[in-house]
Amino acid sequence: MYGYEITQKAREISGGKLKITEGALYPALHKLEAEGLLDIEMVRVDNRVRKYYKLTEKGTRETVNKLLELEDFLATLRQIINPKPDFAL
Amino acid sequence: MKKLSQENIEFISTYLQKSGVDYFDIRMEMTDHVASEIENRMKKGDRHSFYLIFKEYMQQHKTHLLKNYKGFKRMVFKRVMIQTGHNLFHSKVLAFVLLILVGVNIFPGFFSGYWSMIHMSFTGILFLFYLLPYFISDKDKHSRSHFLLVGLVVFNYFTFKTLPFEKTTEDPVLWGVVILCWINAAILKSFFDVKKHYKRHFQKI
Repeated sequence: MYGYEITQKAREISGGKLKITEGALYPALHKLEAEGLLDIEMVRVDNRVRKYYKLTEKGTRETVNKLLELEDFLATLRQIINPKPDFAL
Repeated sequence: MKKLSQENIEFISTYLQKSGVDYFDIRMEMTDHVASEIENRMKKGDRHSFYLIFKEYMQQHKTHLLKNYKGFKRMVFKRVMIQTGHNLFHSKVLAFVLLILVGVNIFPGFFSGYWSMIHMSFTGILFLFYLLPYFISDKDKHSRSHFLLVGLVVFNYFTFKTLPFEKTTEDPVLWGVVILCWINAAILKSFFDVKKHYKRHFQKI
């Protein structure tokens, strides 16, 4: 995916709630690229050069780990917000 | 869907360049972003001309874009410093330093006689054949290689000015020469690695 496509996809999936600005997106992409989590490919499209990003193997592993961490965090939050009733009372 | 013409794309690129986005590798990404947004607005039914849509977009987003660019330059600096730090301990760089260390001990007279000339010639060659073309050609001005080259030339210029070369046969100064060669080799290794990276990714375009 390329930068602009990511902003549009995020907006589309979130129903317009998530608006990623270019000021936030590109520094994050460049940081992930520098850390070896993303690989890049340049392609000439519609009279200009487009930079595509894709996950490296290391990036894929890191994504899985981060998603697991996120799920765990959300589960903890759910428990805090809606604690199971204590029937022992 | 209406696509922007070559002239429109060049207009965006030139505008960004004149706004201070002088590195090609980041400018081409920003150009694509702006062009994609303009095309999207046209697709959604904006009947205004390219120039009016562009003007409106820039009024809304120019500050964001340029702020992003400043952050990018800081990140590039940090990235080349880390890369050079790693390269200080690369096997090829260490082998070169070992060679210099042996050379300094076997031929101290060579370093006292010619070091000043070698050092200045090296800095001059770097400036003339690598750094100067960057100022002439904008297309090839890639951020990381430019940062490394400027760093290399500035570093050598100041060490040339400060190291007492006329006393090079003295031990502490000879160690200075070895450290100087070590840092130079690490920066040069980073520079050629970056050149290879750019060649691999930018060759097709």
